[in-house]
Amino acid sequence: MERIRILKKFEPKRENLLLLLHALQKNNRQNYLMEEDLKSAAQYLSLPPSLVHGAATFYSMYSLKPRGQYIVRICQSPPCHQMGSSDLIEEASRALGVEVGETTPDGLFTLETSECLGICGVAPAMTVNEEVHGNLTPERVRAIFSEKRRAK
Amino acid sequence: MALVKIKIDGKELEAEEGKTILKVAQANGIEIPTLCDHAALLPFGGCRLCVVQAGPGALKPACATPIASNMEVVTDSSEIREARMMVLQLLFGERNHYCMVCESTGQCELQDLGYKLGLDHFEFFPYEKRFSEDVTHPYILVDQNRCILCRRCVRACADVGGHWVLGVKNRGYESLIDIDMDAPFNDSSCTSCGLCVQVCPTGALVDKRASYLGRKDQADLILSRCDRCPVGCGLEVYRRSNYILKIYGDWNCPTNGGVTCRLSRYAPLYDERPRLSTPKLKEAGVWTPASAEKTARWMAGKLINAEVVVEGSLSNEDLAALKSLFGERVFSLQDVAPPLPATAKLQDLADADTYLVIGVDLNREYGTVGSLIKRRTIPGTAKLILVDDGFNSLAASTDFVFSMEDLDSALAEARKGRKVVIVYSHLRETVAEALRAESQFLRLFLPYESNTLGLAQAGIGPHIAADSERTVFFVGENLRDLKSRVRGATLVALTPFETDEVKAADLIVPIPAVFESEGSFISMDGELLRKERILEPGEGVRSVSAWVALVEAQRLQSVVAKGKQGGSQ
Repeated sequence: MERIRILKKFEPKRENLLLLLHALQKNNRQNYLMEEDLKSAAQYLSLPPSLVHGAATFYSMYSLKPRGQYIVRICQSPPCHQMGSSDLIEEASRALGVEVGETTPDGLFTLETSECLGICGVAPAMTVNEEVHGNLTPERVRAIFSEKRRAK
Repeated sequence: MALVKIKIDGKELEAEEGKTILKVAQANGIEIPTLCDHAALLPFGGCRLCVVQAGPGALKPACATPIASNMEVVTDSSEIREARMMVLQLLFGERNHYCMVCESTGQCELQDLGYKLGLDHFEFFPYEKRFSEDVTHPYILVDQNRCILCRRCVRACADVGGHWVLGVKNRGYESLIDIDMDAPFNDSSCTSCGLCVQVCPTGALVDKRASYLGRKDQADLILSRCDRCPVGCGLEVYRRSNYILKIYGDWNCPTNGGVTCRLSRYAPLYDERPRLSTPKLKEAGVWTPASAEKTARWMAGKLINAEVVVEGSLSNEDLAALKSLFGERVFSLQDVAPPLPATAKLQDLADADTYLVIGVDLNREYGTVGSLIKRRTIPGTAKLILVDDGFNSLAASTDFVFSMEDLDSALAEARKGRKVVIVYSHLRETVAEALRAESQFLRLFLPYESNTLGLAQAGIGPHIAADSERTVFFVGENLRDLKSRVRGATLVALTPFETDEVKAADLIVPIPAVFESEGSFISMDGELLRKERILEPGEGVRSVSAWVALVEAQRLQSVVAKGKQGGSQ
């Protein structure tokens, strides 16, 4: 029912596919697209399932696997890399106890990497859900994670 | 289109503006290597093997670059050769191409290009990562290890077949051919039309049955027509000694343009019913093989008070032979007349904006009609309205699904269209009546059997019933429907298969199976089409016409004999 309410917010035109998938994913408590989401989107927009599944797997902002409450995306494009983002990724992985692409057992964090976030001026950078953090050090990364844990 | 002057490799040419460099080059006998390009599909520009120098700047893909006035094209230089070689290296490096054990070796476009462009080593090391295979489909094997992501299969499935089963999932080098939503092939919405296998340039999509039985170029190619349904698709049949290697759709056939369905491409090749190889007579409840002569004599003895019931797959020639023997007593097993006269032809499907399909699952029967409709309705170019009560797989491809009871709503929806085609086969009388009133709609009648129109033209009508005094000759495969109508009558079945069903007869007589006889039939468009004989039937098997000739000879002999007896008395 909830799904239908979300679908109805959009005109049933194929160009709304990506926005619609974002809305469905956001509505999901585990930040991912369920098979039912894709099927209902395909049906609502009169698109072949293979095409919707193709789009959902093409873009890295969509996930077809359950994810944490916070999606951590550390930039690994050249400017951030130059400023030490691979150390940040290592540190984040240690602090959370998961590899890139995995979710912490408590369902709080998912660690991902990202291409350029467009804020090279404050490299190295990362996002936590829609929040942007720049000028990061391994210590700052740990501190941000602790903050989020406390805020839970 | 205006003609423009261009130069390819120094050769001055004139060609239509807007044509691609590749098309112009091909038309003038200039060879450019290609891989993702396919004549039946739209340009894609994915593989970059056809790069050429056309004007200043980077190399351009010939398949996707339109010509322009005074364009100078170079198709071969060291830079171009290097670029093509790099593409090949990357393609070979990305997946696992073990040519020596691949089904497609010797008929693989990737392998051919490797030889042609002189690939003698791998620059990037393949064979490090294993990709998945899908073996679940009854006819098709998918091996992602051999896929080059040219998307020919995806484009053929969507743009030609109208099925949109295949897609691409993930991105970049992680891309894989996708089936619905990552479904096992056998559980997907695939209709087994086989187009994907026909266009695959490598061994990524393989016809399971044809595997390792031989290559296309070792086979005889016979162009024929499919007589499994009244559409009459053009087929390319590949024959090797006395077996069929594979069946492809004929791209050049105006009827189907390469599209076919499971019924023409796979079903007959997978038919495992036991063949009847010699006539058998039931004598005192026991089946005894009989000679051709004895069989013919037996049949000739039963001609008085006899009638013949035929299936609609019989050729015009066989029908004519039967009529010569039985006169007006030739009947059809199924209905012959359409519930409503047809007013449309297949080509009317090409530009209609609304299709009203009534009670036919076009993914399962008349598959080519389904393709012609779905490839316009799924992208939203036209509207599909479905009216059916039972399960119909077409319902998955449209929002407009109505029950027979709700026909009025379906008609109201259809009236919004400008060019509406009703597609139907059997119709209930009430439904036919309601449709008759909609005279502005075109009507595409799907005849019940392959040669229903041929039967109608020969003046053959449906069979009603026979009493025990009669002898009923049956010609066809499906005796079940007839049996209940002819209780007590003597039954002779001329049939290709020796199934339990035909053993209800008193005499069974072998005739050729689908690929063993030639003949003509009348398609749903009213065209006289010819089916070729592909295989030689077994020794005891005779065509319907041949049996008729034998029976006729026996009959004459007995008449002469009787005459002589009469004379001597």
